[in-house]
Amino acid sequence: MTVVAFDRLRQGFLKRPKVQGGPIMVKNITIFTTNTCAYCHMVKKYLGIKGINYEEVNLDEHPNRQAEAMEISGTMTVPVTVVTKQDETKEVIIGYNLARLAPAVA
Amino acid sequence: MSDKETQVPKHDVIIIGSGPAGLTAAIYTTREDIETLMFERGAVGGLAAVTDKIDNYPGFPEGVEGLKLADDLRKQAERFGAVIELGEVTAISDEGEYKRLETTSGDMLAKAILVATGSDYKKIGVPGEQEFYARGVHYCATCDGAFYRDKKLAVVGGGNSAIQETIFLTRFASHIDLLVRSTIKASDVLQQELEEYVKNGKVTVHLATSTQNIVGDTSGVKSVTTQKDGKNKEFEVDGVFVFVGLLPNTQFLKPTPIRLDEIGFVITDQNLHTSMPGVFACGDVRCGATMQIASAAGEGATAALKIREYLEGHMHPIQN
Ligand SMILES: Cc1cc2nc3c(=O)[nH]c(=O)nc-3n(C[C@H](O)[C@H](O)[C@H](O)COP(=O)(O)OP(=O)(O)OC[C@H]3O[C@@H](n4cnc5c(N)ncnc54)[C@H](O)[C@@H]3O)c2cc1C
Repeated sequence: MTVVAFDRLRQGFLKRPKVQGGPIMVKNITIFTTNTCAYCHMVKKYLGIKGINYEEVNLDEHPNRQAEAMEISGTMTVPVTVVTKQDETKEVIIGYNLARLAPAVA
Repeated sequence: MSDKETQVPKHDVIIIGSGPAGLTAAIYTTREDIETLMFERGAVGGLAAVTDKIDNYPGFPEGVEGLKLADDLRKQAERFGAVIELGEVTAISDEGEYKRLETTSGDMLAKAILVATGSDYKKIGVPGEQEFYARGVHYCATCDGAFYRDKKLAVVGGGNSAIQETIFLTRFASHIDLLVRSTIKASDVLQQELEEYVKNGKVTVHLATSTQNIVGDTSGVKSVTTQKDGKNKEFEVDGVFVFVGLLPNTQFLKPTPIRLDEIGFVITDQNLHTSMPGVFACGDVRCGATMQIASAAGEGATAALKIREYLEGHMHPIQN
């Protein structure tokens, strides 16, 4: 048997993506969550510490938006964080992945 | 020492991991006025935070939600001054009075380290498992179960976690095939609870059934093939949840002289002291741990008190 990191999505933790050109300002952030998901709480906690506003779509309360989360992420997992920049480009972060989340919202 | 070196932050204690073991240790060290920094790379509360409901932690006659217990432990540790840094410890080394930690927030020095890194899920290692990860293959029911409302699922495993998670998933799934390689090894209480779902047709248990292959297409998982008594059988499912055991989070300790057992669990003496002076270990990561929240918390308390003795310079080493 081989080991799986508990949240494999965080495997990119130490690989910070290269930033090209100057950073583009964040316009808004949407997080798809569920009530029982501990990693959703971590994403919200991180943004809270940084004083960053976000819109939360709780899929337990809005199951009709599940298909939207799946389409955006290509997965059946939460959290899915969608960072929309001022130039309308979007960055989608699947799972609690600080190496991607931190620069995306900086 | 270079200017850069003198700027390396120094701490009394650094606790790696904020599961029940680490958080309990932090409650004790901070109440003893020992300055304490914690590192957490995943969810604060560890595996307790991803468990739906905990029925066997003392003091909660009606049980407690894992997330709530995790949050309350965090608040209690923070109330006494523990600081939780969201980041990962990637290496440690012994520099005498201080130990050096390489972390995602830079290098740090600590007089004592507590390894409370717990363990992570094992893979089954069958074709399709990697390919459909998070698109039909999952390891966390409380995270991903909600995507399977009125859908058919397979759960692989037969221990406490597998049965507990199967019961949790019944709130979403229309039917669950529980694929158990040998026999069910969960506690009697959990088995009795499972029996209710077997009786009402929500769960079907398949013993002596080994999972062979997870099959699907671009839209996700379609089926699981299994083998029993040499015969193949296919189960049509929309998703597979895997709970086949845990392995210790000790990769970062492998290059150190800290003794690990053959699986990778940390070997300690009765003081929870590892073979590197000043480095202690407690909870699920420790060789001999009973993999329970109550015992992880108990070991956290013990480790904190032993660390205090160590820092005060009167710990008596015990021969392993
Ligand atoms: C599905 C499931 C259900 C369970 N149900 C129960 C139950 O009902 N009752 C019960 O008593 N027990 C239960 N358990 C077991 C219980 O959750 C564990 O025994 C307990 O959480 C162990 O605590 P710990 O602090 O030792 O480790 P963990 O809870 O695993 O915490 C370790 C923490 O360390 C962090 N970490 C690891 N490596 C690093 C690093 N290098 N740097 C920074 N951080 C790191 C991890 O992210 C993690 O948060 C269950 C377990 C599972 C999987």
